[in-house]
Amino acid sequence: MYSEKADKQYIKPSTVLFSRGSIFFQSKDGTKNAVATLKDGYTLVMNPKILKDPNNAYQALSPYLNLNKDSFIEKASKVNDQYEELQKRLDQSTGQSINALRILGINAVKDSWRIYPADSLAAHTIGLIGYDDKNKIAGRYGLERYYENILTRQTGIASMNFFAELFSGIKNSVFKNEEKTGDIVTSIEPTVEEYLEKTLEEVQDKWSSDSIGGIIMDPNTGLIYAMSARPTFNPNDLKDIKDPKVFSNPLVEEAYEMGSIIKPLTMMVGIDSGAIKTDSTYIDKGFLELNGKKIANFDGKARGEIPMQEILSQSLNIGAATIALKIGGDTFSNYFKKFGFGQKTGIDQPNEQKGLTKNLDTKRDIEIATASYGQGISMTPMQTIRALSILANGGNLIIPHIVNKIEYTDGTSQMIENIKTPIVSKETVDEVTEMLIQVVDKALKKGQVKMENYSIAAKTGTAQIANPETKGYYDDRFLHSFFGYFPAHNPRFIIFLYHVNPKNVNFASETLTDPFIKLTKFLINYYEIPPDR
Amino acid sequence: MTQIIADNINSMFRYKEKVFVFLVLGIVITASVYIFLVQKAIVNVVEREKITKEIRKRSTSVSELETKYFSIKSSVNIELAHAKGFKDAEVVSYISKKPITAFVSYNEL
Repeated sequence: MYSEKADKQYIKPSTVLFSRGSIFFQSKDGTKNAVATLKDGYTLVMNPKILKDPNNAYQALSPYLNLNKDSFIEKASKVNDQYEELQKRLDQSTGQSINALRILGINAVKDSWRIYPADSLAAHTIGLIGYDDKNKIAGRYGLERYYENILTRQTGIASMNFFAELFSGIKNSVFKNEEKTGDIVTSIEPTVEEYLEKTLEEVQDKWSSDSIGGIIMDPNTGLIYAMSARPTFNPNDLKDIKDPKVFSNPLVEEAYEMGSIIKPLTMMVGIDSGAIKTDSTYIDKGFLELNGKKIANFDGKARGEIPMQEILSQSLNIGAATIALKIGGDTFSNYFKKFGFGQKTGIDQPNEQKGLTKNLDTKRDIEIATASYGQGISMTPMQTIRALSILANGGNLIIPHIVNKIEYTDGTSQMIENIKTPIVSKETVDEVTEMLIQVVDKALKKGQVKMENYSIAAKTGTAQIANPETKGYYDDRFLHSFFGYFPAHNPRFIIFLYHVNPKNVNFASETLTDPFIKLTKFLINYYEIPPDR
Repeated sequence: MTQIIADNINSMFRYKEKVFVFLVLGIVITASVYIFLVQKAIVNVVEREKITKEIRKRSTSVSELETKYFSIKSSVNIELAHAKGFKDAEVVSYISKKPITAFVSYNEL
């Protein structure tokens, strides 16, 4: 009791205002845009104990209130109550106008709250704040949560009474035990983010997909320019959200079997391990029987003796499986683990998942064969783009990250380091890149999307979706995925797109090729990328 | 002997006098420094409160401007550009720069 009394003398409750660091996007010209910041205003409160005439009070307040008269009168009738909240988040002028009315028992008190000026733009990435286990407002999702210790502000100094504040500084000056706080600057480029989101929305509307997502990243540094997933939400308006699962970021928290976009990685392992060469051939019978199970090409047809290029151009499961079996289970598994599958990428997002890669450890041929074309192992979209970046950046494993700078309140700043680990040789990835350029120039939509002056390396993937009830696969549900990078020999961007269960369509080449090319053309124009051929 | 004792007592009193003066001066200086520092601290706290208020005011203003900016920005799109008369280039031509090897071979001549 005495401790509470002492605290009341020490703290000025009426002036405790919520405070928190800002989150910024950064345009290509370096301009920063605040996407999570603070807004000051008023909260309208009533003291029913001293309010004399509720009817007149309502009359005077009605131009400013979104509250019906019955609710107002009901609150006013609680005469033993001293505090009833009438309306939150009133702007400055409204709050001041209400206080100018000087109604005894009605007061607009200063308040401050979190605001997200870009509304739903990159909502999963930015995240949101909420009450934590200790009933304290803290970051709950996205960057808000991951950088909680940077963004949070001690209400102490702001709320101490004058003399307490005067002498409390000595402790901090002498011991310097405060954690550094500040603002965070992301590499998210608002125009690119908006364009990606618009593209994803169009694709989802067109094909009625259950969910969709995309990431645009610099494959050399791991800096993310844009990332988005749908369904999404508006962090400024959560009243209609029924399922809080929508707040989770599926790009790092959901794992999927990605399908044929994994084949270029299998090809890379085959070449790097010396199991195959780009001019090798193999005999494709259209199917393989392994450990009592049968796997087949997407159309079940045999191709006879064909070159390695056709495995990527025609997306042949039997070709990828043949390479994996030639490499050997141990070597294949080791490479895939080195690509980061089964591990967190280290991206600055909370609750990141590792995916399911048990099949890499069974050593049975069937599991290795299916893993070679992206089935039987699951990975998050972030793990996928990270592994595929190895093809685009000369053979290095990078750590994807969204924040590239922290600006501390003490005036100092810290750049986030770009980390690269060499995994495979540059010669190997250059050879696979050449094969992927051939995929775009000759195979994808029969060469119709080839860009004369720009080399684009890309691959589609259409994967079966696991049915958790039967422990088999759905017959009629597929995941479409697509990745590509450009300019292929010195890439500035890698794009990864996926959507789950598009309707009335068979293959990813039909649903994601045009959106990918549209995004590619946009980025080439927006960043004025010179032609490379 | 009596004279020596008397001298010692006198010098001790003189010494005490100096100590007293020194202590008084010390107290005055310490008090002045304390008052000066407290005054400085008060000024700083008041100034900090003023700055905090100003920051909050500007932060609110910035958040309102950012909201307007994103709203206006999202309305500027290719459809609007086309409506305003923008046309996509039908033929795109690129300028090629001279290959650097030409200069190298020239220098070797």
